[in-house]
Amino acid sequence: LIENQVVSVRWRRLAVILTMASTVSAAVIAGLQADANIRSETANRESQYFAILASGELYRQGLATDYEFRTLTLAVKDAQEATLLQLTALEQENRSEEDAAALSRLRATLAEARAERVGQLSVLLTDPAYMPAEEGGTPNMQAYLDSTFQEANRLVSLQNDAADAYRQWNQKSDAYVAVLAMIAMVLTLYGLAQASSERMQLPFLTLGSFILGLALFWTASLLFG
Amino acid sequence: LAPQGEGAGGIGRSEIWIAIAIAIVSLSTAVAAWRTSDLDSHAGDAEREGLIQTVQSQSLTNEDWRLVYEQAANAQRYFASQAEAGALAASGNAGARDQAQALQDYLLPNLALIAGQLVTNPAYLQDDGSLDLQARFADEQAANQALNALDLEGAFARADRLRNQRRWLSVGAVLLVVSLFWLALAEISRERARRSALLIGLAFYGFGLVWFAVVELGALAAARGGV
Repeated sequence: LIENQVVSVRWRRLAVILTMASTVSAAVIAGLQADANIRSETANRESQYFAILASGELYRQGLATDYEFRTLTLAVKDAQEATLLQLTALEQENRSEEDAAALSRLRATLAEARAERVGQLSVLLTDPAYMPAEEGGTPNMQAYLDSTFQEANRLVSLQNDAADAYRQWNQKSDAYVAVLAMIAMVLTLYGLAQASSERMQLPFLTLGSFILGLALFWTASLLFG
Repeated sequence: LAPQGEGAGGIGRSEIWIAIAIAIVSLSTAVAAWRTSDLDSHAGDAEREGLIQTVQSQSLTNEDWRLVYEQAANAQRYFASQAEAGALAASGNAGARDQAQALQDYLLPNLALIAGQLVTNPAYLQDDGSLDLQARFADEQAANQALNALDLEGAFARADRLRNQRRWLSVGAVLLVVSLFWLALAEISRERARRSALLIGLAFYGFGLVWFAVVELGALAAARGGV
């Protein structure tokens, strides 16, 4: 009987130690859960922030592209008009229509002046990165589009990274809640082990320790996985 | 704690004291839970405010860009007409020179009015004849009072500070819960086990209270320091 009582006291002592370890684990895991939750909320906010910036950048890019293409179109149109008017003036001279030819030349000069000045306003005609390689050629539109999309792409990439981080931390936070639920079960089992008769102490302790092991293994895989 | 006096109904004196301790710790835990939730709520408010201000800021920025490109389109018309007037004036035709003068006197001033500062302020005209739209945009932003009144970085920094405080307070709240668990264990245990459980519970409670005080004082100091 005395030997049984000694064993019972030992199990009870072990139960107290394991309970103590479980409560400390619960405290640490609750801290990890709060941390994961906060990180997921921050990442969620950043994801929304970058999405707003990306939409703004796409709007700005639309305005810029519209302006550049309109400027280029105007410059090309005026340059073509100037060429056509010069050809018209030559034809008129051949037909000895001197006054009409002079008027055509004047209009050609005006169109040329407009084309030259408007061309100065377009990066597609002035920036060495996009301007035509040869006279009369077309600007490098692909290089222009690649360059203008760069900032929007960077922001979308940051937004995607933040969204991924949000998903990852949110999943971790949910997993920690499950681990905490497991530790609540463990505490219940250890509490029962301390309050129950000596015959039931070992089964409660074994089951509780098994669940605690699973919970700690899951926590380690969440921390280092 | 050692020898137990029996009160009415066979309840030991230590059991009454432990019950009182449980009540106090429960109350403290409730206050801690409220404070943690309160901080979370304030952090959420600051975060929402930051996001709303981000939307406002982006709308105002979009409007500034729209204005700059509208001015650029008008400036383009101005410079085209100016070039035309120059070509007319340079021609040998007297009628064309009169037309150039009319353009200079009537059309160009009106176009300049529409085009605004991109035409009237030489700071935006670059050496190669192009327009410095980025500089015009920067000046529009600097003059935009509604935009300058926004403080989204401040709102996000406040949200981060409150969340950080909540992070540490939630650890303190767990310490109180752990203390509650041990006190409950003391209530149902006997003799030496009861004494040990009670001491551990009280130690956790004291540690939790100190933890709370340190986190709150640290947050107060950080808020005063403008962090």
